[in-house]
Amino acid sequence: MRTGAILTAAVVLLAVATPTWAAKTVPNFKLCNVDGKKVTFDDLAAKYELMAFVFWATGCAPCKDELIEINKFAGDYEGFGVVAVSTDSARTSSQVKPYFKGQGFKFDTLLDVDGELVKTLGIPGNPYAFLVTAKGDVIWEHSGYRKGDEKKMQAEIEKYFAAREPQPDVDDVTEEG
Amino acid sequence: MHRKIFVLVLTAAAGAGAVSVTDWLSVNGTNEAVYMRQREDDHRWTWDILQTEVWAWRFAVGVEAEFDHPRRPVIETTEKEKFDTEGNEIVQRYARYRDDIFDLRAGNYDKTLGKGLTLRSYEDRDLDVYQRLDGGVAEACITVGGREWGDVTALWGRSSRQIEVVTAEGPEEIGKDKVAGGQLTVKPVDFFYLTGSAVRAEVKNVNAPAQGYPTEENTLYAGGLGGGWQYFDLYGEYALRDGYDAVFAEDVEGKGFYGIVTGYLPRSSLSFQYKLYDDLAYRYNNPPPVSVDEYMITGLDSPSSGEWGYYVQASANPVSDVRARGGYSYADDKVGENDVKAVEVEQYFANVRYDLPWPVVVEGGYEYLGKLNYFGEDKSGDIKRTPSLAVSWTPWDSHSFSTKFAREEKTDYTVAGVFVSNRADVGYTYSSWLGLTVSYEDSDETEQELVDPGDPVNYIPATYRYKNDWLWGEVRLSWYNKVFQNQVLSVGYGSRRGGRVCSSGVCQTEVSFTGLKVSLESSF
Repeated sequence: MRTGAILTAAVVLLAVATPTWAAKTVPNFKLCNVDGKKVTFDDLAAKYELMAFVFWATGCAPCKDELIEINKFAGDYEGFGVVAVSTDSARTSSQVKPYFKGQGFKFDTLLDVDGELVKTLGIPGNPYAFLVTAKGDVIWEHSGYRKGDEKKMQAEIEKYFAAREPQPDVDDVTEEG
Repeated sequence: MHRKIFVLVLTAAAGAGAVSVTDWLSVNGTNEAVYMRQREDDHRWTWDILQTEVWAWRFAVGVEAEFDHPRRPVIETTEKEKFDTEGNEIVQRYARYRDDIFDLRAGNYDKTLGKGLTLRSYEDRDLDVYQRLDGGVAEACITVGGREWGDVTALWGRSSRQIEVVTAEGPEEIGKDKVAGGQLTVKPVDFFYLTGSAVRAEVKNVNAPAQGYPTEENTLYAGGLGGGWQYFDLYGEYALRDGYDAVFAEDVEGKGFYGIVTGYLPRSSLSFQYKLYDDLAYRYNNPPPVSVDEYMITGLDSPSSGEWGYYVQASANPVSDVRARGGYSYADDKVGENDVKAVEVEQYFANVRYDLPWPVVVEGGYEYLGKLNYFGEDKSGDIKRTPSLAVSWTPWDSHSFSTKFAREEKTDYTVAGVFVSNRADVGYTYSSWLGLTVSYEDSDETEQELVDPGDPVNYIPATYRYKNDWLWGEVRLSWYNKVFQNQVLSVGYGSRRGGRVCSSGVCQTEVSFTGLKVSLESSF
């Protein structure tokens, strides 16, 4: 009872102390990919302007469906990258790479063996997907997967790239200079 | 009072949602609130699970809390369920510091060393062990000249849960396991690494006589190596146990091995896994599974102290619209000179998916689990087969229809004949914010007779109930707002058999239930 009251008070205080509402953000993290190479969020942000983080596991059938559908448009947008995050534990993580490489996905998967990114981002269960900007702002997230959900993600990606300010043309800048 | 706290926490969680106050302060988490009302006896349950992590610069505080009123209906297949009690509970709390080199945690934590031969400290429902640790864990990257040469981990702690035994006088607490150890991984070149771990553990022996509860002392060592090249990669880990069993006053030795080799060709892979587990002290230190559904012989009622097995799996995407997977596994429990082959199982599966040129996806699957031998008795006819066929269709971008048919057959020829269940799921999705699912299942009554907790083929937890017809309908709404990044409201009504239930794309194990279920899942 006492612990519940303390927790309640702590969360209420946090809520009251919040000066502004802002987007959820992804902090810098470090996870291994299936080749054992450590990858940080900063590494990914340097590569992509917008990223789709897709949480999945080898024992999750809807997750595999989602990966397959997202794979269909994974390479269609310049500056957009897909980052799958396997939530398989150490016991089953050995099966991630054989499955993933064999299925011909165009993108990489990270291994969150101890569930640290899951905890940090508050993932309630698989599958779960985020769209994240290079600044770390989450602009869209979705729980579960049903056929058609990938269309919504695709629409959000297109909306993001349509709304962003046009980048200055390198030649134009040179001429002005 | 309980209800007040429940409501308060929900309100507070709502207020705390989606907070990223500055670059250095953020709050993330999830909250799941559920209400269930059973039609038959009007029994009602309400529970809430809150997980949150607050980051301030490089420091974090994490909390996971559960509020049950009364205790939620659970499938009592694990030791953990015996510990679950009604009421409010802080399941996990920890403090953390992290920068580019160090990652330090104190409180309750989960950690695995290597592939888990010496330490795997998390809740393991398959193996009936709840093994989260209270204590500390420190990890550091070894970085020299801008290159990462490996990492080092040190940990210490006690099992989070108090172990109890029931004596004639009632439940009695016998203390907590103590664990200390560490791991060092060295990566001399980019494509190869070496890893080693050592753990010393004092384990309370719950099977000991009521007085004294002797402590088992064990030291476990493991070494491994792994590497990857373009066309194949491998990993191997070998573990030794040096222990003393205080109950029988004798030294105990054990060993374990886990290895996997995978070959890659364009658009396909073939892997082979092997495991050997021979008296490696704790059931929760079993090597990784080598079967599709993680059947663990020693987790059941085998008299042996271990098991061995292998698993072959293939994954292929031969043409862009076709994907196929398949696997075969075998395991038995004869690992030592004196062991007899008491339990022997094999399993295989195949799955093919075809994305047709128009927006239709067809997927077919088949799973088979066979028990070949059971305490010397030929059980080769004792099998479980699960064929399935799924078709989904997206006629317009925002509208999708899906249907799935699955059949489950279990045969125990010495006891009760064949159990058959046929299931059909029909779903409709509009964009990503509305989902409708209707599931119908027709199952045999004979299932009741097949309940056997020691049988990997026919094991059905006793809380599953069976009848002939099950019909469940569910509406799922999803939306976004300034407070919560994502909220999902599900309202379901009807009856369902229980077991592994997949609804609206999320699979979980549930109890048999008839009535109303409302849940609100929030992510912030």
